[in-house]
Amino acid sequence: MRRPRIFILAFLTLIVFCVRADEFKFPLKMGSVRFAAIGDMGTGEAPQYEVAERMNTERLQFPFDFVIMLGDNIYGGSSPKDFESKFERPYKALLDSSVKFYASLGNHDNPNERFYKFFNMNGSNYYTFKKGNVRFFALDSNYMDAKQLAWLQKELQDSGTSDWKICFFHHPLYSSGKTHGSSIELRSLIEPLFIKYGVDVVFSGHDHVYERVRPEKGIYYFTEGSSGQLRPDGLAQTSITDRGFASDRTFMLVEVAGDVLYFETLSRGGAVVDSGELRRPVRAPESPPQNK
Amino acid sequence: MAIKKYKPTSPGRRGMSTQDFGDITTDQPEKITNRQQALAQKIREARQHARRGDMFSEEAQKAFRRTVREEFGGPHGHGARTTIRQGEPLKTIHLHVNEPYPDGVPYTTLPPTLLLKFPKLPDQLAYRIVVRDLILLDVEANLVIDRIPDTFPETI
Repeated sequence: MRRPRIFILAFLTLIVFCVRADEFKFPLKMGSVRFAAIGDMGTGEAPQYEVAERMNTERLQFPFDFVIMLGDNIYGGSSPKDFESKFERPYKALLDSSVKFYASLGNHDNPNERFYKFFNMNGSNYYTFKKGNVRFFALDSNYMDAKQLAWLQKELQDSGTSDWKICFFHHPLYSSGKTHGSSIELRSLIEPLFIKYGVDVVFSGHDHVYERVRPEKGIYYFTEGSSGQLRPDGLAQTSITDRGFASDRTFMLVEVAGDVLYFETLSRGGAVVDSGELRRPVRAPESPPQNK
Repeated sequence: MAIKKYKPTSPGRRGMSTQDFGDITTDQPEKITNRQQALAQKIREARQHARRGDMFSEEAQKAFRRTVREEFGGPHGHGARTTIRQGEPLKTIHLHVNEPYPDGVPYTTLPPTLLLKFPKLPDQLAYRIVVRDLILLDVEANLVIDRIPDTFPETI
C-alpha cells in the first residue's frame, strides 16, 4: 500500500512555475542537459531550412548538444536524395558542429531509417539513452506491440527514480490538434506505465501545431509537430491546452538542471512562443518487493 | 548479424542479449536503400511462386477476420476506428504479394489494442493496414509477404 501514498505525495509536490516569456532566461548551468526538439520537419521545403537556420543561430546563445526528433523525419520517400535534402542539408551546420540527432519514427517514415547512423537509433525502432541526470525513451508509436510494451515496462522499471524520465514518440497522447487529436487507444496502454514508473515529460508530434498541455496525472505533455509542416488554424479550443500556437513553424529548446526543466519554444523568426520552468516532483525510491 | 551482450549492471541486464545492428547501421543512405532492395530481390527469387494465402491459410484468414470483427464490434471498436481515422488511412492503393510497399506512402496506424490480439511476429515482419486489407510486410525488405483482403470494415 506504499505506492499510492508515494504518488499522492508526488502529485501534491508537483509545482509548475510558468514565467512570462519576456522574463525567461536559460540558466545555462554547468553540467546541465541541453537539447532541442523538432517534429514533423522532413519536408525538404524552405520553412524546414529556415527553422534549421534559426536553431543554428540560437545555438550560439544556447549551446545544445543534441536534438530529439519526434517523427516524420523524412516525408515523401526514402531515397538517398530524400535523406540529403530533408535532413543532411538543412541540419548541415548542426551536424558539422557535432550536434547529435536522436530520432523516433512517424507514420511517414520508412522503418529502415533506424539503420541511418545520424539518427542514432542503432537499428532499433525503440531505444533508450541517458544524458546527465535524464533518461530518454524513444518509442515507436506506429507499432505498439506486446514486445515493445514489455520492453518499455522493463526499461522504465530498471531506470529507478533518481533521473528525469523523458519519453518521445510521434503520436500525442493528449492533443487539441484538429487533424489528429489525442491518441486515446495508445494512451490506454502506455499512460499507466508512465504513471507507475514516474515519467516526467513527454514530447510528441503528428499534429502540425505546437501545444503545451496542462499536466495530466502529474506528467507534462508537449506536441511539437510544426518544425517543417504547419497547419494554420489546426488547434481546437479545448480545456487541456495550457499554451497553443499554430501560426508559424516552431522548435523547442530545453535545459534540465537538477530538478528543474527549462524550456523555450521559438518560431522560425525567433519569436518566443512559449517558455517556462517545470519542477520535477519528489519521488521516493521504490521499495524492494517483499516476500510473503 | 552479431549478438550484443550486456554487462550485468542491474538484475534486469544480467544475461541480457539483443541483436547488434552496428554492422548494418550506416551514414550512407544509399547503403540502406541497396540493402532493402537486395533483400527484397532475394525474397522474391526465393518465393517467386508465392501466392496470396501461402502464409495466411484459409483458417488463419478466418481467425484474423473474426478477431477484427470482434474488436470493431466490441468495447474497443470506437477507439480502433478513431485510431485508424487519425492515422491517415489509405483509400486507393492495392498491394499484392512480392510487391514493395510504395515509397513515401504513409503507414496507417494499427490500433494498438487490436495489435495485441494478433499473433506475435518475428522482428523483421509487421502487420499493416492497406485500405481494407491486412498486409504482412517484411519491414527490412519493404516487401509484401501476404495479404488478407477485406479484413477491415468498409466504413471506418
